[in-house]
Amino acid sequence: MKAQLSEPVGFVLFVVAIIIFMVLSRIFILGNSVYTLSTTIDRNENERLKAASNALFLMKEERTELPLLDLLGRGVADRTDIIVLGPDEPQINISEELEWRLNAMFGKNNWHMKIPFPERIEFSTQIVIVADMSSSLCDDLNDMKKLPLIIEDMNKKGKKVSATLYLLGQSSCFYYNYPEIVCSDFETEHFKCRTLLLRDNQVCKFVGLPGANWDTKEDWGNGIACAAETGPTDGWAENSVRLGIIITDELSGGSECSCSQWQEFVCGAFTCKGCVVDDACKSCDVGIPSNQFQSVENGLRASTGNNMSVFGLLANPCGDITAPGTGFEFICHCEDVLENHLSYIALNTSGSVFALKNSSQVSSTIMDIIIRTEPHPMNEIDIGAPLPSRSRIRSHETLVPVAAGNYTKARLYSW
Amino acid sequence: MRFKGENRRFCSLKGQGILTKPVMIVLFIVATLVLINSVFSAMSESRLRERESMIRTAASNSMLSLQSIDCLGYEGPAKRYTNVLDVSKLDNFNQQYANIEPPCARNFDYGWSATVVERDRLGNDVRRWMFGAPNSSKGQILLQGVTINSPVGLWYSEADVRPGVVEVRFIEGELEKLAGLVDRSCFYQSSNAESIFLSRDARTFGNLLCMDKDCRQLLCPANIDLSKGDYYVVANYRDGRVDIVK
Repeated sequence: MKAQLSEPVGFVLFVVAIIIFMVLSRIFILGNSVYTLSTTIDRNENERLKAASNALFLMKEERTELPLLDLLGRGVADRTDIIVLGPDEPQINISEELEWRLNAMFGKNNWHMKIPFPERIEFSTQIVIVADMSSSLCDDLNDMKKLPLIIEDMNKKGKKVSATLYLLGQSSCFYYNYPEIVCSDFETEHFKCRTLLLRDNQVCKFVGLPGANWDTKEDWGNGIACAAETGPTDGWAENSVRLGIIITDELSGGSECSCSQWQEFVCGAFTCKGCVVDDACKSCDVGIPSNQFQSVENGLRASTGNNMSVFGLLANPCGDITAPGTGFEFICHCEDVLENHLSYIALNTSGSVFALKNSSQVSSTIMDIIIRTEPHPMNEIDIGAPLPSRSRIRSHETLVPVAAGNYTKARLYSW
Repeated sequence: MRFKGENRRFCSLKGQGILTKPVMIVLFIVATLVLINSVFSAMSESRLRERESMIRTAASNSMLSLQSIDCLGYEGPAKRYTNVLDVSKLDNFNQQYANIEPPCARNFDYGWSATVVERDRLGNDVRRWMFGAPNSSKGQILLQGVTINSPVGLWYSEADVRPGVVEVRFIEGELEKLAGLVDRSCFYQSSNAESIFLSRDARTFGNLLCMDKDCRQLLCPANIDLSKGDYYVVANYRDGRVDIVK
């Protein structure tokens, strides 16, 4: 009975033994040939990648007739894929040049290329703001008190933004029942404030500085020049986006040129007596050369010299304070000239001018400028289709010489 | 003392044993046959893979040879490029080797044909060159075929190197094997011998070898007239032609 019961068990054991033997024999018999075949296929694929890399980097860009390897090296050195060889030379997008050639060689969605730049650099935004403390800007500066907290908040969120406010002249806000402007109203960890009395300033030495009688309390042209030369309180960083912001409602030498008679307004403050005729700022000498224009020119020269983009915030020169009969209407008369001067310096430094409708727009406009100019540094050139998760991916590296004896590796993947 | 019930149970177990044994023997035999079949099929599969490895290796070698300066690679006064094909050489190959493989990348065991395609910025094919043996074994006489490709540069001038792809179709077949035997003798001007199995009749017409409707060019004329079957063939080169002896 024992022997009879063990027969089915014996058969099951026999079948299991046969299955194990079949699996082992297949592994033993097929193993070698499978390995040889996969090695051969691997060799084919690796040769394809090497051939593509060799051919690709020997190709030349048609317009400049420069090898792609050289152009890529220049791009990596400048941390960009847009290469500008000179003012009259065409711009070359090295990513596009590599991409269409690799598409032609491998077909779309069959390859990927990654070229890391030698070192990762963190970019920051540094801002210098120039504003005068004349009474007509008190409401604007009051709104700007919100800005330091906004900048602190941005830093908490991981962005690197810092600002230095240069205040020109002396505060006279009490005339309009605004609190006096003092630097301590703005100071935070990433927002600093300094007063700038240009006439006494020993730091900024400008060529063609206007004469001794020049009214410096609103001189935003020389003010932005001084701010550009001096930089923020911690100095200009090497890899930073540099922004200069001018907040003003008057010409750099003041807009009161048409007024010859003054009367005391309150506590030593004067308004223009009988300034009622709109002469479209013709009384002000704003031509080339003129002191007014020289100040703007100084600002432009210092800004371009320090690689700084200038943005003008044109505080409304025709508001309630400057309405006809107030004795400040001369400010409104120079609105167009002021906008031209601000545009001249802004457009020549890749900046722009914002005409503010009211004082509550100051902080939000500066925020817009910061966001719009936020740096998006490239740390690598990454082109082609995303790497698939299921296919077998092969890769090949090519050395890319970068300036100053440095190099990086272009990694080409195919599947 | 024996009880009735005990006796019945003994009898039924005995009966089960009688029935089970032949079934078990059959099952054992079937399992053994499955095992033997599995071993033989694995061996046959292994041979197929080995043959595929061999043809792939040959294709890969011919691809490398094609891209070298001995074949299509650009060779200038001061520069030599592999993987960058000279367009003037391609134009020449397109005409000179329209019906036969170029000797610089010839393999006498297999036949092959190549296509080189130039592509523009939009990925469109703008030029095409073809060379090698355009006709090959088909159907019963085709043993196996593989296609491999490789990206290349196409050299028009020092400042103008364009992207392209070279694709090579490698064929192992009876027509290619017989033609390879003749061509090897012709190329090296020597005698060669090989065992050959033919599934169809083979005949030459000058330097054209045909098996039914499938024909390919030979390097030099030969006198082949073989019916289907197994042969040990000797190819003797003499005065610019090859004589075949069975």
